[in-house]
Amino acid sequence: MNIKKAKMKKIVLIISIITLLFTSCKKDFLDLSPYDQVPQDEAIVDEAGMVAALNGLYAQLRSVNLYGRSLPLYGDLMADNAFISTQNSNRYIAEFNFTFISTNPNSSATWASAYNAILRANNIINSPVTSANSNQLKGEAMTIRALMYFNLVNWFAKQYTVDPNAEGVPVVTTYDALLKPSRAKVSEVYALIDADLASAFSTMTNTSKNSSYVTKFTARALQARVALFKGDWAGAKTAALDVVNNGGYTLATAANVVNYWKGAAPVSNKLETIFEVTSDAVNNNGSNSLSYFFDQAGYGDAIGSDDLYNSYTATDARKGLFITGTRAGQTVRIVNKYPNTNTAADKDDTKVIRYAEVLLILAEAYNRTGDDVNARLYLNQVAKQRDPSFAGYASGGELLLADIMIERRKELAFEGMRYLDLQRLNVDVTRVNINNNYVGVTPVSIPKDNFRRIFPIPQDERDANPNISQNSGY
Amino acid sequence: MKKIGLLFSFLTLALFVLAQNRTITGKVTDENRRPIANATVMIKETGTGGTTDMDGNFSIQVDSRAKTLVFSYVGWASQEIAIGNRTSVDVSLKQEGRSMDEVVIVAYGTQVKKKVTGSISRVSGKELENKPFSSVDQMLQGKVPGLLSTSPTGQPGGIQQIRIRGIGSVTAGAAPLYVIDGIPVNSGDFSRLNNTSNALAGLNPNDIESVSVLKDAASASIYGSRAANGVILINTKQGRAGKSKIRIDSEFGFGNTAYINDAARPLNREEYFALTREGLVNAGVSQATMDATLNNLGFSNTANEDWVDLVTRQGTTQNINASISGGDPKTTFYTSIGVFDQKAVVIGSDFKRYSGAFNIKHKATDKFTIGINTTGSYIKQNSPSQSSNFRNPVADAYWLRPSQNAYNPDGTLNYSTTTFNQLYNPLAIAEYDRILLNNVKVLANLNGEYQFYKDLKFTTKFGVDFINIEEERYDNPFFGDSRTVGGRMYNYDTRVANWVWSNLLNYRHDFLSSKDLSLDFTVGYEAQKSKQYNITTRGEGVPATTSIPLPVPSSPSVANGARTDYSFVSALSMMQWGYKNKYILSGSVRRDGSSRFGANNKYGTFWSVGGAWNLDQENFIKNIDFINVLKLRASYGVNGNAEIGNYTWKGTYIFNANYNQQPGSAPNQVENPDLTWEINKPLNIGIDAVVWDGRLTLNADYYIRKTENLILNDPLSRTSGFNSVSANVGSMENKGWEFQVNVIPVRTKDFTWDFTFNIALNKNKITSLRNNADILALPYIRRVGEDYQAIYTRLWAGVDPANGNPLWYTDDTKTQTTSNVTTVQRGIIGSASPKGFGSFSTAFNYKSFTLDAQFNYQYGNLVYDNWGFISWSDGFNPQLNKIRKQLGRWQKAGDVTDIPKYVYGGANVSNAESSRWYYKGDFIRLRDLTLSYTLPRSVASTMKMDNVRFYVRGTNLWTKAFDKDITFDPEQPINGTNDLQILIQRTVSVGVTLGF
Repeated sequence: MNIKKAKMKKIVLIISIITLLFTSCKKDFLDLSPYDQVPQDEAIVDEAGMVAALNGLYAQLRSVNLYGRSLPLYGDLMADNAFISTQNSNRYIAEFNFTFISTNPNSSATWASAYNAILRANNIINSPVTSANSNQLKGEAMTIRALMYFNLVNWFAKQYTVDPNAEGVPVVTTYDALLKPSRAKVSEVYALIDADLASAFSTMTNTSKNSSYVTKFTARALQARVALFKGDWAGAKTAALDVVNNGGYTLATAANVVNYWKGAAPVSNKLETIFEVTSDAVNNNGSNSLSYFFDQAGYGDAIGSDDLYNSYTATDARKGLFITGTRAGQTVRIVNKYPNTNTAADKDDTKVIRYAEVLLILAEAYNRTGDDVNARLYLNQVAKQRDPSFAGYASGGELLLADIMIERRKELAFEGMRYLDLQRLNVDVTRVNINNNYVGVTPVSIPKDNFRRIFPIPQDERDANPNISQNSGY
Repeated sequence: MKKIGLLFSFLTLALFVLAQNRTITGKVTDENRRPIANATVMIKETGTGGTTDMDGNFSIQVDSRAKTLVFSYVGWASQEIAIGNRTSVDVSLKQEGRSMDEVVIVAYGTQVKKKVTGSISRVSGKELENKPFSSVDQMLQGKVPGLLSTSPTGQPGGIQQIRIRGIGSVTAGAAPLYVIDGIPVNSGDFSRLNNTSNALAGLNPNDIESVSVLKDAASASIYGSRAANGVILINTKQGRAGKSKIRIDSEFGFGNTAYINDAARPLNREEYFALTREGLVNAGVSQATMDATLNNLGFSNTANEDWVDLVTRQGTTQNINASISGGDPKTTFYTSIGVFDQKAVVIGSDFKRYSGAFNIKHKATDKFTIGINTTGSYIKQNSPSQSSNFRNPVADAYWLRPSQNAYNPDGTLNYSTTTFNQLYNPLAIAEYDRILLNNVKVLANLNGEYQFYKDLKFTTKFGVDFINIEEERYDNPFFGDSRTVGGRMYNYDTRVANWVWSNLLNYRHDFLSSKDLSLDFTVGYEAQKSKQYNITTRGEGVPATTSIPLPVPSSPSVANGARTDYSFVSALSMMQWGYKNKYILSGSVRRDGSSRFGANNKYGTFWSVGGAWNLDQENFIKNIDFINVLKLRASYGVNGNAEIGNYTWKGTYIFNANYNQQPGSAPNQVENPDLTWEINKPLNIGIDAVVWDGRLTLNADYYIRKTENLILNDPLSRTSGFNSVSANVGSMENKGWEFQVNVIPVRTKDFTWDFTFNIALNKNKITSLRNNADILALPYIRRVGEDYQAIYTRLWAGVDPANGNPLWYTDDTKTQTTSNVTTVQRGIIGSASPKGFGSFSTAFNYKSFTLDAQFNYQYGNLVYDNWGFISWSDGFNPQLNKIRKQLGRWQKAGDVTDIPKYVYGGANVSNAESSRWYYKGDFIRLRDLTLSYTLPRSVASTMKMDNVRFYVRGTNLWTKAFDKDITFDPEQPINGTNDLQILIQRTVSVGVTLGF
């Protein structure tokens, strides 16, 4: 009996020791957090956090689906400036051939990336932080938000000049993961863009580290572009004139055009570039960059069209941005605007807006409001700077407008503007002479009312959001 | 006195002399006291002996040398009995592997087979030894009903995919939990630079004693939130008291590609240019353009390379193992070393492992036992890229033109970018570039056991599972992926360390005076933490020479470290009641908490109940002679799947969006504090029967496995800035049968024939999704009521005989066809998961020879030719070579074929994704054929050896794919997609095993 009791005592003692061991683990043993991250409500609580978040916003512009590759490519491949060689890596073929459907990966990714940038901007704009520089920082975020909405409404919706009451894109200005918004009208989207740019222009300063950051005149230049797309010629004129007179920007000389494009680093001398999205040796898209897509040592799928090449005179400095070579057995005009694929120290930046474009906007605005003298003045500033032996445009009226469009095509080639110009002019896309020996099959004319002139609302957006309607035809 | 003394000494001498030679008699029976005739009785020391008669009796002469008798009978476990001074020795033999008293490894301990209520399959270490595979999970293929084991790649040391009873999750892991010597380990592929690796390849299969696969609730739920996909228990070899046993195994083999279909042969020069010319004519180009294009493709040179031949080679396998085990009643040990070296049939792909194990157990006092188990290995692996990487030798083999000459006229490798302007020369890549990994793995545990008294035992075990993978990738600066940046150098280091501490208290007692009521009760506590540390570096601009072993890049572009970890804390308890070994009732409960679960749902409770009825213990069955074993069992319970990301539920900002070399932050994921594990509820009913003295064994199981709270990426409107949030929203079900039948049609003294067949039939169905809306994950669709891997694609309708244009059905009613792909609707054509799979194996045993064969089979699944749209593309990517299948194209009006007209540059999007690219995945493969010869014991004894065995083995010798059109090996990853992986190898090897 006693032995049993002793045994029981022993057992009880041992069980209690073990129970103590059980509870010896600390409570926070199960509370583990990621090592390289910050909880979302602690991310933007002071100026340093806002600066980091703003850097993150700029970095998103560099996404392959935005200015990293897709936006510039759409603008030229879907128009008459560039084509996809038959020897290709199977990229952007649907866009080039206008065969895309609602599940199209590239445009769906552009939509998602753009709204991701808008989320980053919204969190900065809506943060309660006020400090010495918070107005500047918020102004930069607003400008980029406006830029994103500008791209969304032009690629996914009808033009303002064609129908301002058409369905645009959802306007989202705060973070709500469960929100399922419907499409706002095109005019409403533009209203937000205008408000953002105006607010940004008034709160920002003109100084910046370099051309890879947004300044006061970035917002002003964008206001000029937006006004042009709205058909607001007076507004375009006012904004563009402000940049021309007060921005302090200059054009590169003819001798320096090629060098300007060779430079991979952002500039602070206000030469040409008003705003660009920068890539460097460490942060770049590698084989998914815009330059790799043109570079014959990279994928080299996108080639400049013969028609565009032939439109430059022999003395035009911009002809030096092409290399004549061969691909798939044909003679082709290789695009050399982004030559830094091999440069170890730095990589090509994507230009968002340049001084030359502002001058051309001003020229067009003058022409549209009846002042051909000033129109020719600013147009020829660009044309004669690029081609010193060119006498200058002497046309007027409708013919001058056509010349302005030709000059825009020549100047802004491979920067994503050509297709958008054809959109706002509401004309057919006609590929007159892509390449003499082009062997593949591709449509020659895409009429202005073809439903594929705007991208479909992504199928995965529609699957997740029943409130959003699809563009007709898809 | 003297006389008596003399007589005494005489008698003693006589007795002594008599004792030198005496007769020993006895009887050999089975466990049911039935006599075994023709069993061998041998004197171990001399090798002489005799056999038993029809009544199981024997009588042999022994002399002074005789100390041990060895009793053996083919198919039965042999026994060695020390003679001592006896003249009579009776022995009862047990059937090998079929005894119900056999002890099975179960969760947290061992159990007698009779008392098991769960569905457990056991694979003995003998079946895993000396096979030409780098990891144990490859060897499980076909051996366990319900366990699907498939190789997604022929890379030695590569990952193997295991699914037990179907796929049980959408986003969380679907692989089982691996527990080695009681320690749950990290498994899977931890490589970050190489395209595949396998954490289990660091465990030498020759060190494995046995593997138990736990398939249902009663067996597995004790592992709680991680048991949903089944649990695989692996126990390493331990020493046994007695004479030290030394063992040496050695095997060498050669191999080639296991499956080749002539339709997949790349075109040769004449075929390629003739086809390309036809394509250009069909595209309507001018003669000048045609000539220019053909010349650009190499028409004017004379090269006619067979790239498949250049890229494949003879595979080799070498496997050498040596082990010693032994000990005395207080201390036992097992130690081994091994070298495994395998080269795949594709260049640049190989694997080498050096391993060692040391297990020791010591009884310090009669209550306290302490043990250490350690196994360690060092792996060196080279693995080329796979998929459509331009450096993948398999892609290059099919896509490089015959006119792209591999060598220059002077015999050096040609890597010029004029010849190789898109894909690279794989021979040059294999020569100058490298992707390799070195992996050090250590698995160790320290365990102690304290036996308070007969019924109460305390066990504590502390284990560590450590992996350190160093990876290196070098891209040369002259050609290839990094030519434009002056070459690249990547150095990665990945360290994963996992510790587990478990403490168990076990109480066993037989109640009632008759001791008929048995109780086995365990309660315990377990804590686990796993930490991973990654160092990632990359730099561009390496020196312009390929002769530096580890060049330093001039511009580093990536340099960062990252950590991630997870932890688990659990309280567990199991109980089993048995009455007279007839009725068994079991139950288990475990409360798990983990760092992976959201703040609102950190802990969960997982339980099981099981029962078994051993009918063979009932009197009414005992009277039926031919039934040896008859058991019914059933179980039900709840367990979970915690294989989700470590921080999936937290909403955070991440610092990976840098701009102008300044740190930038960005929103990372949406917060979900309710996120929790997926719940699995398996019901299992099973029957085991052994009849006719073991001549027929049958196991059958029926199961329904319901999985709920599936973690799905709940799609969000992209306008929120996010694509989706992880939430527990869906449910799925797997239902099926497992059968295993073993028959011994012939069993005589000299000859035995043994045949086993197993089959698993599984049906998977998604039972609910968010709003029951389809989730498109092309080419799959997740739709309520359909298989998880249902394939949703366009329906191919062949080719229009009038013009060679591709035709698709407009929708799945298959009433109309069209050549305009944009109007085509998709339909479900089948699933990538097999309807049934298993194996049949047979063994012939004649005296000292055995012939074993194992055939594995699988049917009912579809496999996807992911890159067919390039290899027989009808003209898209015409600068890439095509395979012979393309030659079946339409050429003139009236041709009836299902391969469209070949147009240079492609036309009508004929290579769009559709059912055209799917094949039936049904196949049978002769996985293993082994002929072995064991030296008779008498002969072996003269060489002072216990056991000498020679064998010749063929692995993957013969493959029959039932779809004659399939252009690649029918064994493909679980998702059925062929991704131009390293080709699977067929090996013929010879080996010898020596036992001392």
